[in-house]
Amino acid sequence: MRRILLISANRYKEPYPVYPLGLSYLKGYILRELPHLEVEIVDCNILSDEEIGRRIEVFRPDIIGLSLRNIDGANSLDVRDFLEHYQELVTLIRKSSTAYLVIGGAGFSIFPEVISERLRPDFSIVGEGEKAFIDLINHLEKREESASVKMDKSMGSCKIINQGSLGYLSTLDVAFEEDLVGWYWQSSGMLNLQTKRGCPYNCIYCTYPLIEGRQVRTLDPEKTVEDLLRLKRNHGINYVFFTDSVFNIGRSYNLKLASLLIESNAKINWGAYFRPSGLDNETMRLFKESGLTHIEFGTESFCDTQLVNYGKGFSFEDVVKSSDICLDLGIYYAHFLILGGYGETKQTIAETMVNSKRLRHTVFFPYIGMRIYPNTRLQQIAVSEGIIEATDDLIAPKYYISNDFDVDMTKKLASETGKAWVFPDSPHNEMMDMLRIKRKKKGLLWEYLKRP
Amino acid sequence: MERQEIISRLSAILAEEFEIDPSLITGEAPLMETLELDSLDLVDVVVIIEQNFGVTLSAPDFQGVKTFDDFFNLIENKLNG
Ligand code: B12
Ligand code: SF4
Repeated sequence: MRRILLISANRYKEPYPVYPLGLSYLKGYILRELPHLEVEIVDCNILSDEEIGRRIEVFRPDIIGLSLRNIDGANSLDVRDFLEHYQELVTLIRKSSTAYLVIGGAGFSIFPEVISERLRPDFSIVGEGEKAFIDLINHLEKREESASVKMDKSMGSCKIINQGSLGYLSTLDVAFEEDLVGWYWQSSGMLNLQTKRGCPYNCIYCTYPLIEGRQVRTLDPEKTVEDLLRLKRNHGINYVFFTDSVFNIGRSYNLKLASLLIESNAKINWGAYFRPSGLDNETMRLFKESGLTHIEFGTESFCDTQLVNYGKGFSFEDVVKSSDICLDLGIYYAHFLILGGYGETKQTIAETMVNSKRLRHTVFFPYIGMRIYPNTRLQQIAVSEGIIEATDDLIAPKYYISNDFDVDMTKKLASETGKAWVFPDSPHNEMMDMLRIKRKKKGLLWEYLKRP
Repeated sequence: MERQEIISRLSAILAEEFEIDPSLITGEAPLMETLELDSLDLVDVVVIIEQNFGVTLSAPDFQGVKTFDDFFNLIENKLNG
């Protein structure tokens, strides 16, 4: 076993192209644990299928790891299916190489059986990939440690490995690809990094705890700051998005990270997903000082009835309080919403619209309906309401859209609030791309859409 | 910055960025139609102004802005006020 080729299959570029971070963690970990191996990353965002084929033939890998991040666009107003491309890619890989094919990734981990059956890799790894991949390599090399690799089940000729989240991998080395970093910095205006894995909450529709686990595992804050400084020093990167499912869990860890960032004088701006609850002025001030410029709140509704129905565990008053703290401190904030999900009615929409007027200098990104995913509470609800069959594998996207919900009426009400509502079918993404490419703007940029 | 300086700098920048004949930029000419902008493109104007003049506009600032004169007034007020 000498060469490993990692392929990022993602070609979706909305809202902007996303650096294949999972593969950089995998590469870093493989090189640390098995330094005799050569590891390369190739990226479908940058290379055509033919170019990928050529890279495979030239590199002659022994193992090919294929990362499947998105399965569909998760947007009911623009339904997309990426599996067909993945199928073509697998055909190309098989034609170009006899290497073992291993599949993993966030999107894959939601549907391991169906995808393994369709794409027929030799192995697939559910969830966090680092340790499981090393165990698999050892297993293939027939080393002693190979006993630790647990084949969960077989789908056809594919063995599915699901080891769960493997305890604490707190010091991960992220091997950023020199040639990819420049491309992403130019086309997305940011890079990304993770500070923790896992989410303990239990929102009815959400897959994040299923992909990453419920137990929160923080990554070494010194290492994180080091990685950020390296990005800045080597590539001039001064904006990153922390990809944590929810950033504001683990207060003492976050305080430590922020303090280290301040001490290091990194001067790197950052954004992250936050839960609009439990924020306080003092902590937020420190985050801001450490570089926090943008918060994407996973709010989902401005109506308390819906917040309960969605299982969010916070109230609209929490949303107002969190927003006001950001406003006072001059941190840009946007609210991401799910309108028309479980329990939505004309009344709850009306309440969301009225309440939206209490949130100032911000922008709202509503999605319509909830993508139904396997092993979520929403799936059970949808089955019990006869919306889907219990046997539906849900790989073809199905949305839960409440019967008492009307998109056009909702859009009309939204525009009457005078607030910045950006629905997923609005053409604003093209404008943002323009700002990134032509005007060389960095960061999330939705602050240009906000209204008072 | 003097009003005349604002007008000449702004006219030159807008003509170049939106690739139009500078002589079309006159005080009474309609801003949006002349530059062929829709409401979304205003974001681009905001960034151009920010990058060249260091002031940040927001969507509501454009309320009531119809002609280039209105726009020059807006920038003058932001810069001097
Ligand atoms: C952060 C995030 C975003 C951010 C990204 C910000 C940024 N600059 O990076 C934003 C908001 C932009 C975003 C957008 C979208 N997202 Co998103 N996003 C996530 C999130 C929360 C984390 C992804 C991440 O970076 N993780 C950190 C890295 C280190 O982990 P990783 O990539 O998963 O890799 C690990 C494992 O998966 C595994 N692994 C990965 N590859 C491989 C390969 C092999 C061979 C092996 C063995 C293992 C392996 O090992 C890695 C290390 O442990 C996930 C949900 C989640 N919790 O996973 C959704 C998720 C990936 N997103 C999803 C979707 C749908 C989207 C959008 C299409 C939504 C939309 N309509 O806008 C877009 C697409 C963006 C794009 N251009 O691709 C879905 C995909 C599932 C699906 N339905 O297809 C997910 C899973 C959420 C969900 N709904 O369940 N997203
Ligand atoms: S929606 Fe956010 S808080 Fe809720 S379970 Fe998912 S990641 Fe956790």
